[in-house]
Amino acid sequence: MTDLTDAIPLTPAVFHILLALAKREQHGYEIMKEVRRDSGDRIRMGNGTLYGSIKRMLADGLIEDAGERPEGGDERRKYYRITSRGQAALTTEIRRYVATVEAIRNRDLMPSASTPAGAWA
Amino acid sequence: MTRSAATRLYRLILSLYPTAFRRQFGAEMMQTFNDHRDDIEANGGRTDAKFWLATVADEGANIVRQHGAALAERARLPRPTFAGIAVAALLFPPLFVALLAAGMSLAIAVPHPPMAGVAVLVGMGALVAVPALLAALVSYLLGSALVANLARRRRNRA
Repeated sequence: MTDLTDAIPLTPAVFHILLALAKREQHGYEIMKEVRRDSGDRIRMGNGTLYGSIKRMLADGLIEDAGERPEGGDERRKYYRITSRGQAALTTEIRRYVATVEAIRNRDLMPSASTPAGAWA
Repeated sequence: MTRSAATRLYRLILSLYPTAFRRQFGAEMMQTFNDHRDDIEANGGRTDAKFWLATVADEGANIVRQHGAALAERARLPRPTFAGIAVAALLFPPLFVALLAAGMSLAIAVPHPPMAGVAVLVGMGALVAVPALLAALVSYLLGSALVANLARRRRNRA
């Protein structure tokens, strides 16, 4: 298992999978849909990227097979849940994002909703 | 494309993954693919050329990545230990002599055109270097495996 600091910064795929699993156990297709929702339809994760990331995250101990199905869950599917190590990685990454947003705000570069892409705020 | 044809095509893509990856995730990936396709169809969409292009590009990249990971896993040599290297040093001379003798016999027995000049030097070099490299690798792997096995037995007894 790699050192947690080696995993930071997380790849966008790993970050979004951890974010999708932060509050509840989910199976592959639910994760895929949640990533799409969370990213405002900008990240469309394919099966290959999803399961390639899941394999690496299982090996790194960031997520694990939930074993039992959650209440109302589909018996045929495998559900994944975030581990404490995954929670720690996600928290560290979110702190990094927050610090970046803070730096953007301090430089007065935060775009408003009407700012066109490529223009300074 | 019909549903069964799409399933067959995706199964074919899955078959290109390394066996271990396919065993671990193949069934899940098939299920996720079916869910995705059902969702598209339920929303009035179709699994058209654009869908398949995206699928092939994404799966293709992951297939290459997983084969790379499987190769790296297979090529990983055991970590060197003092005991392992000591045992390998004992195993190396007899192995080298045996492989050298086998190589020499083969070189004499197999008919080849007469050699002269640089070709003789290269041939002689290969006759010595190949058995030396092979003997070093095999004695290192055997030595490491023997030491690891002994250590495991001692731990189990304790």
